[in-house]
Amino acid sequence: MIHKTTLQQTRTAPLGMSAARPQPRRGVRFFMQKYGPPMGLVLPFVVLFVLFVLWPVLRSLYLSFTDYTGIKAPNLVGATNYVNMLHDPRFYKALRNSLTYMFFTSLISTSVGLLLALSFGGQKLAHQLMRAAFFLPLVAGGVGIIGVWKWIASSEEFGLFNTVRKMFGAESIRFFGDPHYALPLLIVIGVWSVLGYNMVIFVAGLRSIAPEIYEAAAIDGAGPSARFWKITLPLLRPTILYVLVTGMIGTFQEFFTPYVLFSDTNNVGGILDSGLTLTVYLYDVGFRHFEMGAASAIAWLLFTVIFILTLINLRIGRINDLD
Amino acid sequence: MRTLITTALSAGLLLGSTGLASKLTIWVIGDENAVKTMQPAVDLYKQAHVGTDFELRAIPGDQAFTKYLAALASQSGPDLITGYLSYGIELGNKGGLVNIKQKYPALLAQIAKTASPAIMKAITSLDGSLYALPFDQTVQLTYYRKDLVKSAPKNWTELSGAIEKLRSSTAAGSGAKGYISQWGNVGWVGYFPYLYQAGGTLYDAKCSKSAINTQAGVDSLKYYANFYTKFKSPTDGWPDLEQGLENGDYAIGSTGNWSLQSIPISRPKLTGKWAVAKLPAGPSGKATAFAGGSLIGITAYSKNADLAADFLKEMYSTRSTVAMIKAAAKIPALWLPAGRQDLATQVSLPADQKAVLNAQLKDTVGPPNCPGWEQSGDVLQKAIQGVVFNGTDPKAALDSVAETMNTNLVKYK
Repeated sequence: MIHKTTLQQTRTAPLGMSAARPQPRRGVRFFMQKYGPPMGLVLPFVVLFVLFVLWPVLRSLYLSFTDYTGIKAPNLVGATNYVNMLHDPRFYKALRNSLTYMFFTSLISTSVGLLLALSFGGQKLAHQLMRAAFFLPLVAGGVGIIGVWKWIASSEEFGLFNTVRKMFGAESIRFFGDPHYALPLLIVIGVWSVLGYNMVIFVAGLRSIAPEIYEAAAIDGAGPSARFWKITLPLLRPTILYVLVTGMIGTFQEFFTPYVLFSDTNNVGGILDSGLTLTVYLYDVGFRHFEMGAASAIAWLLFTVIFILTLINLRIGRINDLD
Repeated sequence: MRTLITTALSAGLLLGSTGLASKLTIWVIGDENAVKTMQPAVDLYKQAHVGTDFELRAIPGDQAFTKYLAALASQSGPDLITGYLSYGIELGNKGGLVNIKQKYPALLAQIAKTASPAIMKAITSLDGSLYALPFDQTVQLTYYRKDLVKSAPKNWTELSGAIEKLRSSTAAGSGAKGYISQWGNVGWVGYFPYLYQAGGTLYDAKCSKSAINTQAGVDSLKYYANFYTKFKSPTDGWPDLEQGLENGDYAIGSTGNWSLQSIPISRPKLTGKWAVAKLPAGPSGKATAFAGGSLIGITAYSKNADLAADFLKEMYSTRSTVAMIKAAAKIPALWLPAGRQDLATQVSLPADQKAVLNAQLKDTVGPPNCPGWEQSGDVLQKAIQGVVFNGTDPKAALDSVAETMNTNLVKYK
């Protein structure tokens, strides 16, 4: 690049001037003429990205090695926050819960989402209505909807699920009073909330597969099962990978559902920390105990886990492509 | 022209700074009712100090940590904050709140005479620093159905006997489910009164080591765990005690003083059927209850700290405190002034309930002020739950908690 520029400068150099002499002013002008407009166009994004993404991310990495409380200036403490975190049994409980929640929620929501897309992917009115119905949780999501789930699962008289059970003479189930129900309840709500989104993505993926391929396969004698396993699934692989990766990242970062369901003034995470996830643990350390340095360390560990899982996913996807 | 501009700018700055100095921003934890409760104190202060402006804002409890931390980190926002009892030492030690003992000793001396001793002890650091003053308080009480239980159980033996008798009944609405605990259920706040009733404590008097794994601690945990393992009390985080009493599923229960106000309004079916009593006494003969509540502190960055302290002086005056109690009653809510416990008798309640409330207020203990307690509370919570749900040996569970408490005593000193 430098070589080309020098040649150009040599060609355009006025008579009597040394062609080899560097001419920074003209070089800058040339650079600005060539790259100025596109740089100007991307500049607002770059500024915002640096200010609101890159800087906070790098700052949190720095803070993870400090004793920052959010009030006093931070002091460097080396890897103490990471060491403390790795010695805290609550961290392992939160990590285990997060991984279990992520695994089951991603797996179930991906497979059932695909099933729904295959069932309701058409243009019939009934299919459109079903798609809208399954997509509704995303539109009506948020803290309010978690409050509705809390009401559904409540063991009090007004709890919907237990009211129905009571009608059949069954005893109430204490979803919030028994540690065994915490994760299954979280998974059910997690699957319910992303199912519609996954279904819509799969519908789009299914529609991108050319019908001629299915027609040719049918002519060759392939049945519905063979067409699914040999055509649909392989061609949907990029979509499945996308749904899985984004789903895993999303579920690993889930905060509101476990926080709203299992937190009270004295405790987060529910009975025996059965509903404690890494993000809630991070919040507890950072905002309840004012240990922002330690919370930053947890955030970086969270990032590392998600990064590794994403790499594994992408690697698996690539291996399949080679096959 | 230049002189004119300079004069105008100086005048503007002067006016601006004057305006800034006479405005107090107060963040009150809770909903709009918390603001309504404090409003009379603000109004009375404004009447006496014309030109002083106030901004009162309610901060929902679940957002308080994040909002307060953001304000303290950016050094902008409220001059005064109310918060949970742990906020004083936690934020004060980190430099977020003014040390009232150091900066406003006269104000502290005024409040110390009338404040709840339990709350004062809970919010005073070991070195004597006091970063906030008591604002309001809550206390655990026993609620029971008069038509289903002859009288309130006076001690542990009577309570267990009453529950067993109730649970032997099969008729619907006869309190056959026994006992229900609401505030601090299956956690350290629920266990706390039993520990003190048994003669135990969380730490020794000097906060030099944990005392939870003593015989009193173990006995009280065994008794407490029985509510859930033997008597099958509900284990939810916040069971609906009032509904349980109303429909007769439960005949005895325990929660905070707030139900004194809410039962007559929201549970008309309970009219004439319920009563309140002190907690049952334990083997030590004490009927100690846990004292919770909130405090009020001046932010360290506040440029109006003197004005804030002056307002606090007014807020703790008899006329302002009584006005706040009355304002809360209109909501309706039961507001118990922790800084003026002597005025708790002013609350609007039937005489018998008021007598019980005041008797229990005299027999309370607040959360410990020992270093590292905030970090140890979670461990005790899980240990109690381990005994209830996993059948962990109480002595082993408390030994493990004591070890963590001792470690945290050193770590957070």
